[in-house]
Amino acid sequence: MARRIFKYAPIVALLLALMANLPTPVGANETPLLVDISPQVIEVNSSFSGTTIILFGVKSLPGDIIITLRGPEAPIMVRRKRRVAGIWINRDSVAFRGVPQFYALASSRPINVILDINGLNRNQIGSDHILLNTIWSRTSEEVSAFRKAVRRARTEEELYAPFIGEVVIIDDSLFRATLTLPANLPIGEYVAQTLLVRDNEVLSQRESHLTVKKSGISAEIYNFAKGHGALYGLLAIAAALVAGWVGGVAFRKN
Amino acid sequence: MEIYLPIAEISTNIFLLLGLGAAIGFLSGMFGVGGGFLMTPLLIFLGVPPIVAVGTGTNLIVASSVSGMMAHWRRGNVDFRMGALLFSGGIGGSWLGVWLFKVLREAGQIDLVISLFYVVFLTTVGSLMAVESLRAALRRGSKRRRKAHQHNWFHGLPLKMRFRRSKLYVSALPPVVIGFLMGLLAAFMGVGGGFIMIPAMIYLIGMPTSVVIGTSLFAIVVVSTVSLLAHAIQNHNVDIILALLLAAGAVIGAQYGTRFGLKIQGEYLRGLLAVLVLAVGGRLVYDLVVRPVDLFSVTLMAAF
Repeated sequence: MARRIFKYAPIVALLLALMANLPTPVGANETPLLVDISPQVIEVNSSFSGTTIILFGVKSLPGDIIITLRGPEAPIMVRRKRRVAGIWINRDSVAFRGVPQFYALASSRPINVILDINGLNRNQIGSDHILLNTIWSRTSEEVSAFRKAVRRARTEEELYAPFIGEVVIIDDSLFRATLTLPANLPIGEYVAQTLLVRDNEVLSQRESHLTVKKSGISAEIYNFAKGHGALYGLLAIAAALVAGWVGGVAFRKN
Repeated sequence: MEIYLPIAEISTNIFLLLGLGAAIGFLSGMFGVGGGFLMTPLLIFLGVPPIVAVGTGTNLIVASSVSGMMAHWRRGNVDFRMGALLFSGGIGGSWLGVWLFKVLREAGQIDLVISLFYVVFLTTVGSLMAVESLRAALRRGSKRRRKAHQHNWFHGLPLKMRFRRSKLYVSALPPVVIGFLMGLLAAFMGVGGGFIMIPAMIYLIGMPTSVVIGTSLFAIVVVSTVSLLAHAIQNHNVDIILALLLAAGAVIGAQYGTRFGLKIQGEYLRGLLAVLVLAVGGRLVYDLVVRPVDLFSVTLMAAF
């Protein structure tokens, strides 16, 4: 019971803050949508096995809520294997820019009920509708197999999740979504976009930011190895020499 | 108990790694080989990216060859002049190798090249050993006579040097070339290269067997140290946690391996090793030839 109250505490606080700022009924065109996310920073250590985040807010207009969570964007290279002289080797490649490494969504009703196909494409809702732009121009026929491969690979790794949580709307004004994030969550900056949709039209949208960072000893080793390669190499040599020497001493006793 | 490997970026069981290290240590103690050429493919089968398997392999070679080199040094079995020639070629080879490694990695072909190198070497070495041990098993009793020091065209090369410990007066060129090839292998395969260098030193240069192992270990320590540093700087593919866990297992495994090896006859030992080497090579061939489940692969184009 106490836990339940605690869960709603931030929402209550947000409501109180809203009331303090807006003594009159919430203006329809002013701020139809207010959103907050908790926690705003996720630390990934060596025993990280996934986590949940809570996104909550208020809306002043009737309509559905769609939440998309996009992970760190990076250029990617997709390669296709071909059989050459009996062995399978990478032959063709297509590079894409600004591809999110993570993409997931939550909604108050199934998204294809809330928006039609044009609306989904226009707002890039759903992993099948996010844009994948190539770095060098290619014909779309050439590229479509590679685009499909990106979506398939990311979906298999559970990095593109069609549905990671339900948006619960309370009294047609408060809403809350608990989003479940996997263990292999990529490191970087995330944007959670909340859309208020009615009659196939986006009435309002808000962005919240989430940071996922490595923490603990493994993060320090990783950063050290990437940032100070030479020093890391010398350290590895020293460790190997000591280990070898200790081993040698142990051998001699036997 | 799961442990996260910071550079390989996978979680594995800590006891699995210690066990793998112990198994490789056991084999290297039993057969008197470095074990690097088995370690890298086994790490790849375990899910470690091939690039990291090679870089970490060089780290492991440093750890495992230092104690052996020290033991030979104490007994005066290291020809430092010969070793210096070997590693001067080796350093050049390993820098070239690591640079090529980087170029191929960026072209997306490095995994294939690592596999091909291993397939060629494992099948060649495995077949040679199998044939040799079969012959030895058939011919037991009748000892083969071998000349201690044969003269061949290598001995007509210029730039002759005197090697007192090896009791030789030969050209400096073959050791440098052999060292260079060894350095290339060290960089590309994460191995010490002893299984190539030792026969070359005995049969091509004509060094006495007593100093061959100590001298090759000396060259291997220097060359793998250089490869390790070059990989750490250029490819960021050395996983220190993985290397130390494997090394810890290997030290323990090697002790039992040496004892066990003394109980088995030489030709059976080599026959066993040949079977093992061919099995690992066969698995790599299988992975190359069979149609992959997904023809596409997605990689991040990192900024570095």
